[in-house]
Amino acid sequence: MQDKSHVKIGIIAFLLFTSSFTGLVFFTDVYDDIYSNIVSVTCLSCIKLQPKTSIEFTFDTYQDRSHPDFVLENLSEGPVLIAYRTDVCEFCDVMDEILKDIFDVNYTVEDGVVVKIKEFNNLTVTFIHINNDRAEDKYKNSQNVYMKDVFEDSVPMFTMITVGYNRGLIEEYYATAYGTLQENSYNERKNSMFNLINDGIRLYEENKAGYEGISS
Amino acid sequence: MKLKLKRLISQFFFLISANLGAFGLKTGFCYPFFYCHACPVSTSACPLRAIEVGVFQKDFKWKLILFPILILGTVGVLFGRAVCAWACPIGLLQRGTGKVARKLKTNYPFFNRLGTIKFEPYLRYIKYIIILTLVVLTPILIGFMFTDICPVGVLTGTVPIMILNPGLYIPTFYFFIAIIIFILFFILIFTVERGWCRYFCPVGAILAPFNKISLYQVSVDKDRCIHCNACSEVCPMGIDIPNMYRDPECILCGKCVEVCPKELITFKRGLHAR
Repeated sequence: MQDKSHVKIGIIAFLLFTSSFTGLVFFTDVYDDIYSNIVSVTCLSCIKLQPKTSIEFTFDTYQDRSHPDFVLENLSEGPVLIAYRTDVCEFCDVMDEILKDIFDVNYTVEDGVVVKIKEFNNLTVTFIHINNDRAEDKYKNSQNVYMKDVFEDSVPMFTMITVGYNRGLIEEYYATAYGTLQENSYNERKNSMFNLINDGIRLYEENKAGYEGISS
Repeated sequence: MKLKLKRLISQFFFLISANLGAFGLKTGFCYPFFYCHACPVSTSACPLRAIEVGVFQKDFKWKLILFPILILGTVGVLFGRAVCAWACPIGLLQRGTGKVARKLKTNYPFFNRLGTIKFEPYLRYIKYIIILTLVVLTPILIGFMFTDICPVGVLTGTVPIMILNPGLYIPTFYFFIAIIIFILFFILIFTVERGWCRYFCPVGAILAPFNKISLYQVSVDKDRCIHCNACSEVCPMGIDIPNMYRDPECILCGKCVEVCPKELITFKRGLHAR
């Protein structure tokens, strides 16, 4: 008797679980959410590692993809720094504090896209914060253009896009860095981020005259 | 075909299906067992990670919390903890190391005593504490997650990634803690048979209560039992089988079914239960 009642509860639970599961899969975007935010992202906290990057500038985008329009629009005014993150990302929280400090901007994890323009040495630098879990596709897909090495969709990822000389042409030139920039303290990380920004500014100053994207 | 062989085939089938990412197959489902999506060839997501992301810093995303629970719940209601013995790749690993643990138990009295100490049954509650604290509470309150120090993540994610990409990654603070836990994990599974499943596995903790209502179960005819204890001797989970009734620790491996001299232990399908 006792067992039969357990089985009845089991059957009811089975029907409840399967119907709720079916409903969740067909009527919500949870499948895509899990796929795009967990399965297809290199989970740095799960592997307890962070990418070792050299922060070198390059002209070659991933699989020769085009630079996104929102980058090109801002690049005509000055270099662009993009910071990619996801909702759950410990290192992103660490690095966000530094970026907020450098760019005098305030945002939270709930903001999908935040754009702030700041002047450094008479040159405007556009800072774009992108939370892949909340931003529109055109913003979050831009990460795939700038990912370097094998670190597919890793976060936090920082990309400084500027312009550089490439065999007779002035073209978009970018550097991508990951994680906490291989530094241990707040000040060291801030210095490294400043170095990345300054490199972008220097290259922009050197090459802006030949860049076709510059208006007037 | 012997049950042992059937189980081995099943375990290898699920091991391969958990790694179909090697052929480009990635899905948005969660595994119904313990496996890490950080593995370079993983097919699906770790159920614990989905829950952690769902509750992270009070930003409750109910879809992400419910999804893995419903997957584990559906499997649990049907088969109880059978996935631990028939599907989980970490279960397969422990099947191998369990042989060493059993030899140690037979040859050295110290290891034999490990499973009989008075408070051993209470140690089994650790897995429930882990799921409540490290998978739910600490991600909500301080952002610290079980997957930050998960030994299975080290085994299936960290190690393969470091081998495949030598020199491209550097360790984080949690790396060293995770390595210590990983070493302890290996010592545990080599010294206590199914030590991880018994005491620490958070996925096992989610599945365990479903043994109480699962449609498949291992049933013992207590009235006719001769109490030879052959079943308890072979049980990898250390269960007192003659007195077992829908034990949350039972992983339905069937070793007791095979060894019972009177054939009084059987797999029962819920609808045909006595």
